[in-house]
Amino acid sequence: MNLIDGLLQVRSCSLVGLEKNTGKTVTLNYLLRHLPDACRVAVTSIGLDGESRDQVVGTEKPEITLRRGTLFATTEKHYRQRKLVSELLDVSDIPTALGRLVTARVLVDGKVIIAGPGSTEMLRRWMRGVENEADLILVDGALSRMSLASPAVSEGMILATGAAYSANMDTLVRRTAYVVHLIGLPLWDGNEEDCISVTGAVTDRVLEKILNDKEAKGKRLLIPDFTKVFADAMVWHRFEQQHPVVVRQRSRLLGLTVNPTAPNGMVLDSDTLCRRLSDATGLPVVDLMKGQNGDE
Amino acid sequence: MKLNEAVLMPLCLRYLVDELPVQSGVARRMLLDRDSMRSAEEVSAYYDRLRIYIEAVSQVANDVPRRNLQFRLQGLKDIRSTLERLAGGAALDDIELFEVKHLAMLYEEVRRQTKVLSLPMERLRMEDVIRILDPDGLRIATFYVYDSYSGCLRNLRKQLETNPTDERTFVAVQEEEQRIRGELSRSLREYASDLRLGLQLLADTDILLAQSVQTKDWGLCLPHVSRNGRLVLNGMWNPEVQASLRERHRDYQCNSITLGDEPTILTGSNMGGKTIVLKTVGLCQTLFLFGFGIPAAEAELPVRDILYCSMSDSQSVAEGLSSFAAEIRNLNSIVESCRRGENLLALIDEPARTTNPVEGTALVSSLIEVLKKTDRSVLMVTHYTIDAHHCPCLRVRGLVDGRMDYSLVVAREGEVPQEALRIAESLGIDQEWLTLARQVAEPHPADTH
Repeated sequence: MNLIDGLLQVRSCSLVGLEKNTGKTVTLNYLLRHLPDACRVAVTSIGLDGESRDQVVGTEKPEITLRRGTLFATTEKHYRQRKLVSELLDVSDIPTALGRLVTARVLVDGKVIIAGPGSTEMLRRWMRGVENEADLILVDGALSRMSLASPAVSEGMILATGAAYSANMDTLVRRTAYVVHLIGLPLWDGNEEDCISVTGAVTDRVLEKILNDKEAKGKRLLIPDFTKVFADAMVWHRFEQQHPVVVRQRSRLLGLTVNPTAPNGMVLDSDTLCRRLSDATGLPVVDLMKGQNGDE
Repeated sequence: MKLNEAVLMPLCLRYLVDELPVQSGVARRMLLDRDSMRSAEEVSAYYDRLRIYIEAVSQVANDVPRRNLQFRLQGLKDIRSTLERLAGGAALDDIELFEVKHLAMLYEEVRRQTKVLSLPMERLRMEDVIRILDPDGLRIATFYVYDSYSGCLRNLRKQLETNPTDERTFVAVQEEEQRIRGELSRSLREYASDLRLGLQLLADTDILLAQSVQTKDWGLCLPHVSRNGRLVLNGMWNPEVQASLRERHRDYQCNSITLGDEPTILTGSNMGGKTIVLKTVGLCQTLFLFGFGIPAAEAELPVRDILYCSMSDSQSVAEGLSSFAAEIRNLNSIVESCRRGENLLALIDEPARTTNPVEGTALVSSLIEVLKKTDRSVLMVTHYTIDAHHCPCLRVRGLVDGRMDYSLVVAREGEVPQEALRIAESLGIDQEWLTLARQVAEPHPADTH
């Protein structure tokens, strides 16, 4: 099954980039271009994550191309700067760094900078507000681990990876497969008895502590979702052999997108990369530079 | 005095304000920014309006329309700065025009809902505003510069649709949109005052509805406006204290009090709830000045311009000379205000309590004598045995058969209950300490009665 077919089976999907320049914006534009016209789409992002930094280094936050009928969320400031014709549907009380959050519908195709609520709760509220108007909600997940809101609020997830994450193909495949493994952690069954619950960041130290705790022996580790894991892959795998890990919230990983070009200009062999990633994860992989499905 | 200043006084007022079911943030801000009412007519008129709301929400059949109205009012937004800009001649942008349209439509919807409840709501020129911002008559609270505003815009947008990346057409569309927004803003300007009033009336409705719901749900009463300075509170209680007692499964005992334009002395044993009486009188007086329901079975209150509170916030006595100085200065300003004949209510909790009893008694006795001459309304709690100068004296009934009776009774002048030792005993203090205290307090048991 290719990526778009998978996407049409969920009501909401977030895009998570493993690193800056792994092509999350290109991924979003790719998806918007390839979704069938009949699918009513709503687009938002998690906060304005990375915004200030972008302003510091002076690079513009990329605009997204939207077509007629698409709903989108953005800030008051970015709404005034939009390059499309749209109908304003709502000005909410949800504050952002650049004014209140507004929701609008595209009337004539064009470009706009997308923004969204900065917290998981507010993101959920926004999603509830538009779910009757949209068949599919796309959430630009920003850099998941640096955001206050969790991309795990969506039903599906697409992971953007690429040479920017690592220019060494072996490392890139291994590290991407590790994150894919984390996203696929099984859902908690609700049984609290044999669980150690950690709500904050799961670091090497937290894992070592549990490993060394005799009373924790044989118990499962319960975490909110995969974005809380900051542990080294080696430590993680050692930990999992002793303690199964379960999550409170998880999304279905629909596939991967790949940008084989690193910011320094180095390019990995795209065909090999897509094949190896597909083999390692069993998921559809799309090379964004080619703009086609690698599994076709 | 504004409400946001009044909630800072130690009167448990914040609790009632926080619990008031106001639906929109802007109404709450406007409420906190309100000035206390200054005349008996104003207060009467306000309670007359509130009475109409209470009647409306009290009918069981009106529960659904009331909830609908509350739900609508949640949509009220603070767009005062947008309306300022409109009145000042600025060309509003899409977001601001959206806000104006939203307000006008909300006003009309709320007006329809208030009709269902038979509540009065003024007719404003909101339909004219809606007509300007809804040229296609869609009655949807969304907005953009509609095609039907100009044929030129319609054509430009058609061109843009066939070639969305054409920068030149896009710029032309933007220019035409901007021209239309300027025109819309010009036609809307004459309605700026209606819109401002509309926002105000919606917030007022939100507040009155919240006050009526609170009055009904909490069993509060609407007060009579006293014009002779008399304050009567029958069966009054303090909602915050009541709530905290309820948490511990204990009941609140209501009490009654009458005050006139003279000092009234309140005495009573420790733990007898004197300070609560003082605070609750202050609470009721403040609620009255802001048009809330009063936590009493029956209430008659006069309008007061100033409310003085002389009470320590915490009852812990970790205080030294500096707090004594602050207290005496505060008391002195009350004396001065009374001398000037200002229309006030002063609530004084145990004046001069941090100094020695001899001088303390002297200060309090003389304070009462000074205040008595000014014919001002003062309620004072004291433990000292003092000369009350023929002022009315009240006393907490105190321990009756080992249980505290919090009701207030008229006391003989100079009568101060001597129950501290019995209460200390009931608290289970050290036996030797208690026995020695008894010996000191009653050196000749045969002489006492």
